[in-house]
Amino acid sequence: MKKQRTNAIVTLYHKLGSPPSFYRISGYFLKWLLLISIALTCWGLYDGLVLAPADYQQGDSFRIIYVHVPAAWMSMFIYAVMGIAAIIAIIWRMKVAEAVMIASAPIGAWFTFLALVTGSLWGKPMWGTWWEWDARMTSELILLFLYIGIMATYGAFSEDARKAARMAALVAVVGLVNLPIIHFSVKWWSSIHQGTTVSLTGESHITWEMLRPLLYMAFATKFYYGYSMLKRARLYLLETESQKKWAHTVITENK
Amino acid sequence: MNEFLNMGGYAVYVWSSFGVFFVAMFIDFFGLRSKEKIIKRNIKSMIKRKTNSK
Repeated sequence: MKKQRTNAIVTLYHKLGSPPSFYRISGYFLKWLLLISIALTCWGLYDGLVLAPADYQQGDSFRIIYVHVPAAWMSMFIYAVMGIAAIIAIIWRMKVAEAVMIASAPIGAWFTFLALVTGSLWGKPMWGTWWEWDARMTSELILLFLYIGIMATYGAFSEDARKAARMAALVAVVGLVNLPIIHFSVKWWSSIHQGTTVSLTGESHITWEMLRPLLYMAFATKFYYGYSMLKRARLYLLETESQKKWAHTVITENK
Repeated sequence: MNEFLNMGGYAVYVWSSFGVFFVAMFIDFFGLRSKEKIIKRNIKSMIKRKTNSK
């Protein structure tokens, strides 16, 4: 029994490692990921903008949390996924890992950009400044440059997609060092940015009525990332393997 | 309704935050769709060229 189970996992691993199977299997999930994401967003918006009470210190401006924090979480989560995919791509030369890595960069860059812009829009009324060169903001800005750097590196070697992906993977792995810096920046340096409010392991300093919409939005962004990344990864595989038979079958049968 | 839109005086900051968030998501979503169309069209014409030259 146990042996069969491991075999099933190994088979799944090999299947997901082969571009045609990855393309086929991920296709089943796309529509659902998008639908769940839209549903959670609608729910989260209503809950966050209408039902949640105003903050006793920040008034209604705290509602920016419902776009700012999910975007900031995603900016780091996506980079972590990208970093792991980059390590796999470098060590095992796995093409699907390359696809996941390259596909993560644009959506990760969007979320990082959004974390910075919405943070700025929150900082102006609360701190009296759009921008401050402090540790949290500076390290998040570096994260945006890392995403852009990875995309630019990939674009610079466009004549050889595999070499381009490997070079981009190297940049991604080196940039991983920035993740703990962002996370701990509010602890290590005295920062204008407030400390951690919501924690997975410790106590969260927020009431449930305010936390609930945040969780909806956080999951909504996760599901949207799943959709956007898988769709990009599939296109990446289709494009880089356009000479292969499976790609022709996909195109001619319009899947 | 007016009270809701006013956001306790923070309307500009709150609505522009949500606005930029959804604009970015829409750009990603529709950009991806048009990218899909272009890539599939390119491969299709490549297959056509190949079968014609045979």
